[in-house]
Amino acid sequence: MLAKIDTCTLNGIDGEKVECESDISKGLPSFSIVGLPDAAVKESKDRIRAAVNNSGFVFPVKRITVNLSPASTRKIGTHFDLPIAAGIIAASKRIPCSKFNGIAILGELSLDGRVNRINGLLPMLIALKQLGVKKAIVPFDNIDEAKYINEIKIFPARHLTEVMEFIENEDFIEPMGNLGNIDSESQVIYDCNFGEVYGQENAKRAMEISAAGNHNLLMIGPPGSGKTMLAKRYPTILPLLDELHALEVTKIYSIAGLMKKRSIILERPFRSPHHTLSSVSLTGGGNNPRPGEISLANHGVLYLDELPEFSRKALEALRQPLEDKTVTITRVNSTVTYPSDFVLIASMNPCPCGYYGDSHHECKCSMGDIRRYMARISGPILDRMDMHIEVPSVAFDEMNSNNRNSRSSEEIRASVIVARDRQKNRFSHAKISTNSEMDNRQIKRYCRLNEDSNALLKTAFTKMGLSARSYNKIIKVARTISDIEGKEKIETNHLMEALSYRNLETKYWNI
Amino acid sequence: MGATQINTLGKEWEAMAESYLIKKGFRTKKRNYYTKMGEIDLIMKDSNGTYIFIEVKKRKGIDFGRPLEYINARKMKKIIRTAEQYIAENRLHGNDFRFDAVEIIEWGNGEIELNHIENIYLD
Repeated sequence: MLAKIDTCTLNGIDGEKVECESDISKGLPSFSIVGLPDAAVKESKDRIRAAVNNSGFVFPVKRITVNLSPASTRKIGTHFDLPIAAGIIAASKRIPCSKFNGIAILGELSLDGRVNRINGLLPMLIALKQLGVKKAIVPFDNIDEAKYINEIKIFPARHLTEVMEFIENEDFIEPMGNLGNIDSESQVIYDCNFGEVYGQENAKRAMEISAAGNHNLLMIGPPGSGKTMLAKRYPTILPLLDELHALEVTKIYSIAGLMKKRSIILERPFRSPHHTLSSVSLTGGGNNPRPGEISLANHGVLYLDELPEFSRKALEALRQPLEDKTVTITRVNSTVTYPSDFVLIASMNPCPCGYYGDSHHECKCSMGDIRRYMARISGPILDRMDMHIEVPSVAFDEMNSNNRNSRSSEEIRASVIVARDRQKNRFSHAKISTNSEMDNRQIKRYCRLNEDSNALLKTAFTKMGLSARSYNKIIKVARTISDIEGKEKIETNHLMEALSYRNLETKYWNI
Repeated sequence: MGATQINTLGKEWEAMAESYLIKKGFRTKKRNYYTKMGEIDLIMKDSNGTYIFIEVKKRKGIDFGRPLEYINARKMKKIIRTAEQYIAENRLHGNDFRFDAVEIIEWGNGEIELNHIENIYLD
């Protein structure tokens, strides 16, 4: 007897339909799964045998062949347990194939037959939706993720017996109700606020610009000056994700198994990996590729604290994803592309002791030490940072002043949102939404400079020894500043401010 | 102890297993089926028409593990190979097959324990 059940597999962040065929025939008892299963799928044999026996069914003592087609794509994951088990039971009980028409089944089994949660449910359901599947049986523990898939009737299953009852009688499992749209989701509450940061007005201004235009930001300053404190508050001034981006971020988190009972991720991700991380955990990889930190930070922030402490290999691996906004991981088994559209915020000390250039402490480092320390940040990485700012140590008066005029996160976010809306309107015909994404042609078109500005830029270019990339980045930052100021054209003072975020290279790197 | 003596010793316990299974409703098809790659102690058929290949294991006491523990992957492979030859020789393709084991423990007080385990082959 034969049973055919639809299920799904993941390739990168996209799902692909898989047909799970189970055949039971006479012959020496055997159980084989074919169709390029990986180790986790092969292991499912033992789970399925136990789960079937422990759920009151009889695991047939016959020749069982399970084929996962298309047999040419590698099948990864534990969610094949349920369709395979259901197929075997159906084939041994001679349930006709037509009972399974149009139903996709996804789920992992535990030995007692309970259905366990799986990783990557959301991207798989999105793929099935696009392929026109109308009904899906998913693990009950996962239903939060299925909340926003309105086009598919979702049947949450707790146990293998429920699934088999459902096949016979479709009223057995209550379909999940339509749970509305994403906009109704409540606000995200942060437990920190820019209002708590006294002083460092320069840094806050730079962060506002960075958040408004998606510009990479490098902070240099002595220990304890508040670099980390500022960076932690960076997400609070970013607008929430829109529906499209929220789904994309959620897809990646679903694949990485980081959803933890949440239905959708609306706040922008903030990833701050420790500096001991390897280049592979940063970019993603492994035998069966998994998304790395840069993909988990997609549409959000990647914060690298103590930048020079990161391994050279890890930092240089950032170069291409920073430019292309995607990362392609190639291994023997497969090639996958993950999105990596993130803002890079980095912080570092200016020298090994940390106090080079500080007004209150003496720096104990030799010039050679400082040069070696700074040389850990290669030119190409430095060049890709749109803005470099100094975060000096805070004076006592500033810290204890009763001046509570410090702008709160809400105020800054409001101005960021206004500036982002201006950009969105401007780029409504292009495929981009922020200034940092402009290509050369768009820069020419949207960033006309007046004569004064051109002259200024010319002098700066030769005097500061700018590269073509940093030249473009300065113009983009100037564009963002004028968007924040609400100006249609880039004015000379906007350009001057943008240039001021590029002058640290000479101070710290060319000594 | 000569080879013939071992054979007769084994036969005694295999006969005991056989009479136990006949009481359960099995019919004997073949005893001690020998081939180049191995031996099957008993081949029987149950009331559903399933051919059952049976390995009989006997031990005195369990100081060195239970008898069943001596059926390892290598032994299983031999049994399967031999079963395949039996199926081919007798043109039994298209039937149901099963591998069972009977373990017999002779305890120190002379008591005999017999266990029949169905479907020992898991892959």
